[in-house]
Amino acid sequence: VVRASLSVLLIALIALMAGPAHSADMVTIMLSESGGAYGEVAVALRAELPAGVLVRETLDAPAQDASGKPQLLIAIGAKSCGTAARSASGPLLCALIPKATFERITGDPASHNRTITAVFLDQPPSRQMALIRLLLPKAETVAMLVGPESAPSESVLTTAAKRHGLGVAVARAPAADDLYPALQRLLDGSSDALLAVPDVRVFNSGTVQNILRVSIRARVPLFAFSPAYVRAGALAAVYSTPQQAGRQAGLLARELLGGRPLPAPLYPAEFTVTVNPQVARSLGIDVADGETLTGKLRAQEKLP
Amino acid sequence: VKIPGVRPRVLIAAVLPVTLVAALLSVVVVLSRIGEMEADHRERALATARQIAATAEFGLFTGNDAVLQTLANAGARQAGVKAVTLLRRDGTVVVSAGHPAPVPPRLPARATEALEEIRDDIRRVVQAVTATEVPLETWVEDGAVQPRNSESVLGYAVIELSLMSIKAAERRLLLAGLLVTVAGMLLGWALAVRMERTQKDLERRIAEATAELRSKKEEAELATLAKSRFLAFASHDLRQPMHALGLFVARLDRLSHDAETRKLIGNLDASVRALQDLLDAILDISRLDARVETHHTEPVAVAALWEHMEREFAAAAEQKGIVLRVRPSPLWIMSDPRLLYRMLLNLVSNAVRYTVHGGVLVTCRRRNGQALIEVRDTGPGIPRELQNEVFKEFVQLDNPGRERGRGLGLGLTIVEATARLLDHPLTLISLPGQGSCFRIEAPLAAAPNSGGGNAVIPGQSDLQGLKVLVVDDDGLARTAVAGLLESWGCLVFSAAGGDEALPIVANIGAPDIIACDFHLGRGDTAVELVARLRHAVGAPIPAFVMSGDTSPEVAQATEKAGLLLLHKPVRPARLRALMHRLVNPV
Repeated sequence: VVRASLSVLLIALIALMAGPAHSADMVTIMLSESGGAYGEVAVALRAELPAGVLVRETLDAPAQDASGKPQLLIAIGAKSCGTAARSASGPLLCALIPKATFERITGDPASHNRTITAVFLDQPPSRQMALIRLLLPKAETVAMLVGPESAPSESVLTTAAKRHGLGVAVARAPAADDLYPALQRLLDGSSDALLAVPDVRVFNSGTVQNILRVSIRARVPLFAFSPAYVRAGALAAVYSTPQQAGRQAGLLARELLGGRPLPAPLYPAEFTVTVNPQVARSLGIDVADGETLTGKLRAQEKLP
Repeated sequence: VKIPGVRPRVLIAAVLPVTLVAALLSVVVVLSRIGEMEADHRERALATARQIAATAEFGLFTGNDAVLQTLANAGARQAGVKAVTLLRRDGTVVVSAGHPAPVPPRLPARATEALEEIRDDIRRVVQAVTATEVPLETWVEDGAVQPRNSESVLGYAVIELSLMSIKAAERRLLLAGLLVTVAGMLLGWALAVRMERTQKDLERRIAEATAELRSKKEEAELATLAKSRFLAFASHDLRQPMHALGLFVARLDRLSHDAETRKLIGNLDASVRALQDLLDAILDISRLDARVETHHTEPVAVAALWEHMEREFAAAAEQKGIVLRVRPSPLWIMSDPRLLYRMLLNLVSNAVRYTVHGGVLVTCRRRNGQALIEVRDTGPGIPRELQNEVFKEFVQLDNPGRERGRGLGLGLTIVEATARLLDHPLTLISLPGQGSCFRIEAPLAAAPNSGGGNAVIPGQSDLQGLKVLVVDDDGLARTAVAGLLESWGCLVFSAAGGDEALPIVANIGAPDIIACDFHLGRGDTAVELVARLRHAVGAPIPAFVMSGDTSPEVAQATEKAGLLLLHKPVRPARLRALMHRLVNPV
């Protein structure tokens, strides 16, 4: 506490010496948990904030500032985002949060008196389809296994697929026991790729191994949303690392501090592609390394 | 338990410990082995269940019953596996192989732990089949509702293992344990038999050795006996001519001779005397050593002993110019008069011989209820280191030249052996230059009422005209005695045996004294002859026996008959004293 107050004093002193031209901006970063991915996000985020901004890190909901001036609150992780959305007014930026979770939070009436935006964890559907197309140029149909959580994404994904010239086969698996029959229907021979959509009822640590086994046996590669899936046997994954998420949140916060109005929630701008060359080899698919693929995707999206 | 040929104690000593140890070991081994087998069986059941559960995961996930059936069949074919059943999450049977028990299995409460139950010789293990967990980034699906744990359970593998094989193995083990115990018992029995045999062998060998020793001992005893007999015969045969020689010399001395002849006769007499002394001493020693010397104790008047002692040594002491003092004593002691006197003779003779100045003191006093006889002298004394030596045969101090006049060196040996025989403790106190003191302890005795002394040795008196009948089958001895007696003025009648003696008595009437050899040939003895002669005459004629046989039998026989016994060679002085006493009773 002493060190924290000392650093606050020091920063205040530096701000005073810089001149009284503009009053000190203040950012509060709220973490779901200290350390881990959340800590990495926070570190990357702070690196992007302009000098002279007072930053406060907390694990709990911050108290209302005495000055009454609306402060920017950045919540990292789903838990802190939910807490922050319910607890106070003022601008809120959520980072490292899945789209479905964010939509559940904002759907809650308790969070309606707050202006909220977010940088999603999920990649935009078009980017995923672009990756499939990049790796499987001859693919015609993308199979998707959706559960109760991911069902709303179905239409967006279908649209994106169509844009990349891919048909969509969807199977619903509302319960664990429906998983295999649904998977079997999907992979009966007409599908060329299986796209994993984040939904813990379908894809979790217990099901991944068996889904992968079925897909590999059917010679249908799995496209996933995190590097762990690639390690477990998925062909490729496109995702944002905590550093990338943090950097994007930091840049956005900087703009918000600069007076930009709160934008609508964003898909991540920076991303990474990882491939499993072993799986590619056994499925007879010719793949470039992850870095090359990332570059190609960025070029397609005309990103710098 | 009765086993032929083995004593119960040996049996217990040998069989019991071995059997106990064997039984204990068997129990310990069997129990631990059964425990191990149980643990092994259980471990195998659990391992099989885990293995089947792991293999069944994908089959259960995909609902591939054919694959699961193959898996169950393969599992059921394993040794000891009775049945393999795979269940869905809700407990319904998917497939089963083997012969599953009809009772449906209970499901484990937690997926991580197998449920184990034993029923009707069957060990049943129920193991949950769970999906393989793949670690994922938790933040990727942050905020999502996590599925319930139970959803990761795909189903259950039920393995039933028969306990029959383990039971059979247990029975075999118990049998083996029993066999080991029995083998231990048999071993113990064999040991007992062996021990018994060894012991008997040992006993037999000891008995053999003992028998051998006994026969050796008997041989040795026989040899000793033979030696004793030889000695007895030798002494008898030596004594006869010595006896005659002594008597002849004595008689020769009584004839008239010129001075030169008389001197020769004197030397001859001295030589004969020395020879007789030596023979007496050697025979005494051998008798004592061979333990054939018998003794009988009786009250002995010290005064009588003293009287003889003074008479014996007075002249010698006077001649040497020393004082011999015998202090009178009224005491009576319990001893053998003959042997005691011989001890005193030896001691006093030594004392007189070795004392040059001063004198010899002989005392007897009462001390601590015992009689204490002391022979003190003012001689050269005996150094302490030699005080044990002087009792050995032929040891003489200060006489390296072994001069005849200084004795034989047998005196103290005889004294010591006699003291031991009579149980009279003998002590020697001596300091060089201050004389010696020999001390004999003997029990006191009460004075007999008759008051008369015994063992009286008479002085010389006139035997002129005495009628003496000499009976001896040895002609030389007979002639010698007869000659000596005639020289003393006796009227001598000689006879070779009873056949000659009886007619003589019939002719001349009763003689004054009968002098008779003990052994008279043809088994006749002096005792019988004297009795016959006395009977023929009808009066108790005084008689004495002369014999070269020093055996106790002869002494006993003569004593029993009330006859006095003179051992050959008979000294003329002693013979004369005896005859004097017989014709002049006190």
